Amino acid sequence: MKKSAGMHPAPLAAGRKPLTRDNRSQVWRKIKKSKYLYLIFLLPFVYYCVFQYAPMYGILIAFKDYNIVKGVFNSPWIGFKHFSKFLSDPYFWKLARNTLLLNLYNLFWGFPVPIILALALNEVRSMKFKKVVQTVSYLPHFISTVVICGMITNFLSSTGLINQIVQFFGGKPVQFLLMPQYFRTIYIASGIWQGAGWGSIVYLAALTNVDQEILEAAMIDGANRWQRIRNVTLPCIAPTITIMLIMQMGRLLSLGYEKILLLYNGSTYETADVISTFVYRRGVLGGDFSYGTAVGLFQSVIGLILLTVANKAAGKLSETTLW
Amino acid sequence: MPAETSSKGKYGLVCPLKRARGIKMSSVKFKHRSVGSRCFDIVLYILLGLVVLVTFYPMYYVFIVSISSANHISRGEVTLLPMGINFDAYKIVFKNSRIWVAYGNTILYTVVGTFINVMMTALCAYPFSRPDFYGRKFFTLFVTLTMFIGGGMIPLYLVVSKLHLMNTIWAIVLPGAVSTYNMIVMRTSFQGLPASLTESAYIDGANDIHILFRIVLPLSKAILATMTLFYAVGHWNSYLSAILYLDDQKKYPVQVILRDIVIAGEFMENGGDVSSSATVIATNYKYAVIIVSVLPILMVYPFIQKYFTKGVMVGSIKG
Amino acid sequence: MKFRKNRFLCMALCVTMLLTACGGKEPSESTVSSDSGLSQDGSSNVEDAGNEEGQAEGADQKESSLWLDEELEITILMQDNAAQPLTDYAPAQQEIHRKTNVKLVYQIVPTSSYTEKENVLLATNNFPDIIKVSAGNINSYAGEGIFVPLMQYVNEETMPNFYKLWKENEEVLSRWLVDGELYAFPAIPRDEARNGFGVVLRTDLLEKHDLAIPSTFDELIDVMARLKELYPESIPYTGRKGTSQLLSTVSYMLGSGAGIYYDYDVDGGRYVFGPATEEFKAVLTFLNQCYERGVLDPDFATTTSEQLQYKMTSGQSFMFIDNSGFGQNYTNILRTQEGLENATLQVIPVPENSFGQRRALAYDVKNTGRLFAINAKTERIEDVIRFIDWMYSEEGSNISNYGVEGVSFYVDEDGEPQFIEDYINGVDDEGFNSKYYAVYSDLGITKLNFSLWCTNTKTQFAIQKIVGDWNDVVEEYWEIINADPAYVDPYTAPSLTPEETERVTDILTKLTTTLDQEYNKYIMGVEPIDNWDKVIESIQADARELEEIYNGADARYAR
Repeated sequence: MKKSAGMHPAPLAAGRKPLTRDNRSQVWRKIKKSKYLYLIFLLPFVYYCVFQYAPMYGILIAFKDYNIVKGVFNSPWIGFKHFSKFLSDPYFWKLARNTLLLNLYNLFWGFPVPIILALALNEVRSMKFKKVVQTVSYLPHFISTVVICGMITNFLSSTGLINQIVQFFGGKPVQFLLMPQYFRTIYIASGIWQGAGWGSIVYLAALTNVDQEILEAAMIDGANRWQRIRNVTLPCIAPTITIMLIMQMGRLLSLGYEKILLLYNGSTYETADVISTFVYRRGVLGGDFSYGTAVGLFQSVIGLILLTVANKAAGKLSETTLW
Repeated sequence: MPAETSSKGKYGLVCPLKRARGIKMSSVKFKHRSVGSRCFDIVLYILLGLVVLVTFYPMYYVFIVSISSANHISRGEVTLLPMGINFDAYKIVFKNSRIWVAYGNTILYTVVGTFINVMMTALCAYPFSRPDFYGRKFFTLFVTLTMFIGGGMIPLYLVVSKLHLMNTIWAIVLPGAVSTYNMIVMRTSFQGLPASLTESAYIDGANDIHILFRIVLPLSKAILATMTLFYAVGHWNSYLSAILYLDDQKKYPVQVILRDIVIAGEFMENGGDVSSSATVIATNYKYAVIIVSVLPILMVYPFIQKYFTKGVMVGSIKG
Repeated sequence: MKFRKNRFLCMALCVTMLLTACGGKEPSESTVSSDSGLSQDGSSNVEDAGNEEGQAEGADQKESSLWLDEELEITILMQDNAAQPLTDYAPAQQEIHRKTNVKLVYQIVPTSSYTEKENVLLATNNFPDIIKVSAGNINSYAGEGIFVPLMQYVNEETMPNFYKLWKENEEVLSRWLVDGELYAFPAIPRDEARNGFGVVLRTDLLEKHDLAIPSTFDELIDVMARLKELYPESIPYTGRKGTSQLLSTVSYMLGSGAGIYYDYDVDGGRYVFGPATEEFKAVLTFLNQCYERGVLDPDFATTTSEQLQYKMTSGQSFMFIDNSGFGQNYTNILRTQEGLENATLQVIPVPENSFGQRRALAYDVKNTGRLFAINAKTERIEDVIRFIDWMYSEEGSNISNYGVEGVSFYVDEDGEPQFIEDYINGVDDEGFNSKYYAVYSDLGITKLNFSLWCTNTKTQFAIQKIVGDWNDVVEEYWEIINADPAYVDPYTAPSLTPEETERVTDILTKLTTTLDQEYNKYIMGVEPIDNWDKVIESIQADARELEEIYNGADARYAR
């Protein structure tokens, strides 16, 4: 019994019903039935405890006036001071809005592309061509952001490729990187350019599970290719898509700073300045562990809420959920 | 055991059948191939052709710059073809004796690390894919939480240090042994396997360990390949844990040595320095470094690709 | 749950252990020092011999002024540099080992992640004997017992060499004191040349088109506009790292300053937040003029260092206002790669601004900003201190900046170290920016290595002269810089209290975020310059508070 309490979420069961003797033995039976699964899970469990949960006390510094010398435990508590500092700053809400919008646009434009690419590749009959497309499309993922952003800046400069095209058609050169209205497009388009091929790998793997017999049956029934994709292939990879979507939802308020830092400037803050870049700029002026941690925790909590909501919604709409 | 043989049998059966049908199909189809289908193909090929052009360019550009001469690069002439071809940049890169040692380290960390990753991820994903795993919901939450909340660099450093992993390969490969994100992707893939498979194995008296290693994993080559790729690339590109946990320069992986060259002058402030030549590093050298540091890992993909196309026809097993 | 609790306990325990370890160090340290004090007396025959005059006595054993009977190994956390890669146990370190019996072991950390490593090692008290540490961390950790407090050693007897240099530079070096205590040894520059941000332009083109060297910033725009007319495809004036760098390079010269800065000309010298002043309009006006007249790069807001180099070395651009030293390298490239034999990018005397001033800020050459702290856990502290002092001696400095005597340098009749030409010429510089970085890296010398009384430019010039990189342009460059009275030394910044630092961070983040969004509008003429008054108004309160904090801290410091 003791063992079960240690390994197991007894509280979970307890929440539902008082533990009667019957109940208990039922629980015990279930546990016993899963014993090999526990055995399999043992190593990962230890990993999570040691490398993920043991260091987690570090999160406390979000609520502390962290002094690196005093350490996490001995720094004085200040409660929600850091949180109220940024939550009460009107500019912070602009940052949150920008982060959210950039992510939402990315979800709208960027999320489907790898799926479409994977489906398209699946329709290619020439193995050679398929391999070439697959291999080439994932190459940009391996070029560091610094270099990619350098290329973007060159393309979009006043004498760059894009402006040459604009001028060729009789337009006037445009300072793309100085105009807030173009920033999101640039960011997302280049993101797709760099990441779509890489992102499609997961779906390509999922596509190998597609039932060939059903596909053939559909073909014999005279379903055209669109119909086959829509009715057979897509449903087959739907669980993967759902899971990827749920996880994306959890990240709606987080965004790495590196790429934005390389692409934005004062003129485009209006749309380009996001939470992480702001925290970065602040960090450059004076290292402030607690502030950064507090902002990070805020993002995490919101992310977790979004994830839970998305998961609930997914459960309603389909059978695939995270937990 | 029986399940395995049956799957094999089916596999053997399915393959010729599929091939036969495939041939028949295409011949039948060619006749009846509707205009729509042909248009579909044309559009498909054109679109994918464009994808190839657009996505090939960055790597191609990096390559042609790395073999062009400095004055052509600075005049902005190198856009489509290399100018003043020379391999000096590569000679310089390879003259750095540290690179060879670092390559060895990187390969070691990548191979060992990826093996541990894939193993651990599978061990974690399998129980989560089983509906009868008691406490699944709790444990999934337990694990998902770590995607959002982490203690940060210093507490983790203390853990690694307490476990006496400092300055060993384990400090590089253990702290990130399971990526929750990847684990969930893998779990989703396991869930896609037909339940009948495991059920029949249960009836035949197989336990979960057996089912995982003899049935589930062999049928999940595509996702295993994907995970291998994801983790391997992650290890290949990582540098921060090496910098934090390794003291001995001889143990540094290649990225640690090359990264500074690539990002020199981007994020680092070079403050007030009287020296005349800033730290602008020759672009061709920089780009040669990128090619050198990335090429080996690029080679992995083509080998892994075959698992995407030759995926086991799981569905047919059901039949 | 239980498990986690245990973990917590574990962590708590180990933190306590660490703390007690630090705390417990203090008493034991004093015993150590008294112990070593004794041993110093006991074994001091060697050292004293060297120090006093007993050359004869020391000569039979060693020719160095320091020799430790027992080998001492010192591990140092060092920051690597892409231009000058460090190697462990290079010739200079071998020579140090041979001469003093001190073996330096480097833990080399790449520049881009040095801060992370430094912070983690300090926070976990896991750093080696000596660590190159940032000024900010010195402030945070002062008095916490993890660094050896050094003032006890800063005296004529214990550290004669360092004490001498300290006294000579006390005014500047005392900025590193925290509450009167020193926690890290500063690397002190040895005869460094001084330059700063300056106006560099293609003097050969000016000559060719009969244009006079501009003596005011207005003339500068005129000259550049003329060149733009002559070469319509050109981008006469460009920069690197976007608007912020553009502003920080020109602001002081034009009579104001970017951000919070010390202005010698306001009220006899005080801190001012530049953008909140009337004078700042002159800066924006200048850049706006440049932009309107086609002089300024239309992509000025998105430039990078690489692009600056490209534009300057391909002959597309004619002027930059930045580290004027860049011009020499660009000139070389223009001449060799582009075949423009006469091309010359030369600094000009600082032009007069609209307030009739000629002024520019020089780089800080009295301070390298490189600080080395000693771990309180280090054994044989007394020996380490003696060694450190030796590093500040002429002998130590010669080795750590010129390499191995008789191999890479000799000491001339004036007692000055001189490189041996054959050695320098033999160093392979493939893959290096320049020959001197190749030599620095090869020998393991100068400022970016572990050198406490360090050279950078002095050795650079010497090497350039040997390998023939030193030409008339370089010669003229230093003549102009040295003759220009416009350059003033940067003001030594006061150290702020943690509370002040936090407040400053808050205000500055807010101000720069607001201002970053405004600058480009005024430079590009989207907003007329008169509207800047509104900007000033909106940031006035914050700017005043910032100035007060800085001037307050400065007053404290000046006392």
